[in-house]
Amino acid sequence: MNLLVFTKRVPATQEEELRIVDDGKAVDLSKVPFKVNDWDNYAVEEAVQIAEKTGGTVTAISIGDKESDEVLRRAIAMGAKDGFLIEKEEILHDPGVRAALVNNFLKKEGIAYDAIFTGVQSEDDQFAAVGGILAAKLGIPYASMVIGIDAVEKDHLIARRELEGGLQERVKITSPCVLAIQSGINEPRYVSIMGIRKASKVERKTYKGADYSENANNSIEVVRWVYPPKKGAATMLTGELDEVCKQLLGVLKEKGVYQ
Amino acid sequence: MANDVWVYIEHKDGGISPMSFELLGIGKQLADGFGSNVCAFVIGDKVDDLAKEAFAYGASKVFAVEGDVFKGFRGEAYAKAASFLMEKYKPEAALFRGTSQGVDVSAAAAANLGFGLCTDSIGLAIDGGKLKMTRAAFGGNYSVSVVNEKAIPQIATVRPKAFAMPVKDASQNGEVIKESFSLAEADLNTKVLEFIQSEVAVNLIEADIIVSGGRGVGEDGFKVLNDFAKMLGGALGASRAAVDSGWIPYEHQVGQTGKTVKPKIYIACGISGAIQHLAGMRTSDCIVAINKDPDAPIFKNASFGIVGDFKEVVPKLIEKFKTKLNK
Repeated sequence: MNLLVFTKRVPATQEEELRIVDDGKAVDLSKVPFKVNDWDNYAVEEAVQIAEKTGGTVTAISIGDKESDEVLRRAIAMGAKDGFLIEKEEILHDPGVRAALVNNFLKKEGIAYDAIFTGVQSEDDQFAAVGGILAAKLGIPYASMVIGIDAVEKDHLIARRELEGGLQERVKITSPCVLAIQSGINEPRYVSIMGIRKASKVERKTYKGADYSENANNSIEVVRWVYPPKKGAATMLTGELDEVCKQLLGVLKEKGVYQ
Repeated sequence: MANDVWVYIEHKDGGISPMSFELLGIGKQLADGFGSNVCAFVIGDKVDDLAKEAFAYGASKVFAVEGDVFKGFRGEAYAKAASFLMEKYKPEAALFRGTSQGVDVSAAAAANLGFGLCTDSIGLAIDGGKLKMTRAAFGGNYSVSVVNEKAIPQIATVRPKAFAMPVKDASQNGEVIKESFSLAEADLNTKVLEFIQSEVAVNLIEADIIVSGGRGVGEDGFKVLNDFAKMLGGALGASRAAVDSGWIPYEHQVGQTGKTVKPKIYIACGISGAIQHLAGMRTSDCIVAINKDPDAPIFKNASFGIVGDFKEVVPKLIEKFKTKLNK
């Protein structure tokens, strides 16, 4: 099975304080380190494991500026055969635009595949929608929130999806298809610096995003960044244990937990 | 009709749950802003009762597509029916709950119709005649307002519980407008083989009360928290650190890589308050933090804080709560 997997280079914002600049028009990412999108890391691992088991290859694809080559090298170090960069200088927030770009790219370049893997969402924009939009544009079936792939056959896959309330669903999905991979589906392998260095010897192809921008127009526009409302400092409940618990029960009562 | 606001009524096998109608409240507000009506649309097999119920929650009109092929949710089939309805009636905006079902249908419908999509809205307003959505980015630590500017309908998914439930008025009713739209089973490329109910049926998304534990809790500690959660009629949550330690299954994970929740009360025990975790719970109505470390970042995001060991506090709470209930 030949697999395409999307991987995105995202700002590592867990540890960093971001600054909103330009009168709310942008977020300053100039001093922030970047990393591979967590979900994509699982998606690459899942694709590589399937290729290892069933034969076939994995191609990593990234949309972004030149720096995104970093996540392609990383995917190759994990076991992808090669990598394609669809180069776009400007940040593309709109999931519809990202999906349209890929749709055009795959068709124009005549790229063959049995399945496309994406991460469920990206850590920065969190739309969780590119996979679904892409599948519909390509006219192929889609499974979101995939937490396990139980079988890979010539013309279909059997996948487990996570639904709400602890419910899972096992689906048979004909290939080619798009699967959005949930974090925790596997244990992504360790990638060493040596591995990444070796991977840089593997050819990565760069394509100009502008060549695939037909009908890839923004239909949503980011208009303003704001900090989320700050919670005032917590009211600290103090005193002896008994007293503290009494106060907390008072809070629970006030909030309607009990009468 | 032009400029109406449509609300997708999600359901499981036609079952009626009030949460299905959640968005009719905000839908009505937006429709008032547009000077139009809020309408509901339902797709499924034999969904008449469910569809009629939407009137009681404020829908002016209710549209339904029914058929065998829609028995059991399948994104592919439902999205085709949703696209058909939206193409025919061209509402101004369409709202879906940000659940697995809502996101699947809305993304495919947006693509089928060539419309824009904004997911996970936590704020919705009309700005210059356009729908303006506020949503979280970078793990909920920044918000961004997005205008869905060019395409009509403007499609948005909305985070569950971001808006108040509409008040039910059982006296309201009307005729469901049935639209015929058929699909051949052979045209569908996904088949649901089975459902698997996890041993731990947790529905963190819909829970009003969540008791949650972190790195400081340990396997035995979660048993205590579970008792507490049950006693309050709530659900049990966990931080990623606790899940990674193997103390509790992934289904319980709250945070950027787990569930995003918005209960009325979130009680965080032994959770330091890493950004990853805050991303999943910071919009809870009331956060109570219990932590031994007075400098834990969770206190900066909590409404109420207790500096102390949950191992002492929670059993005491359980004991006191029991006496209250028995009175």
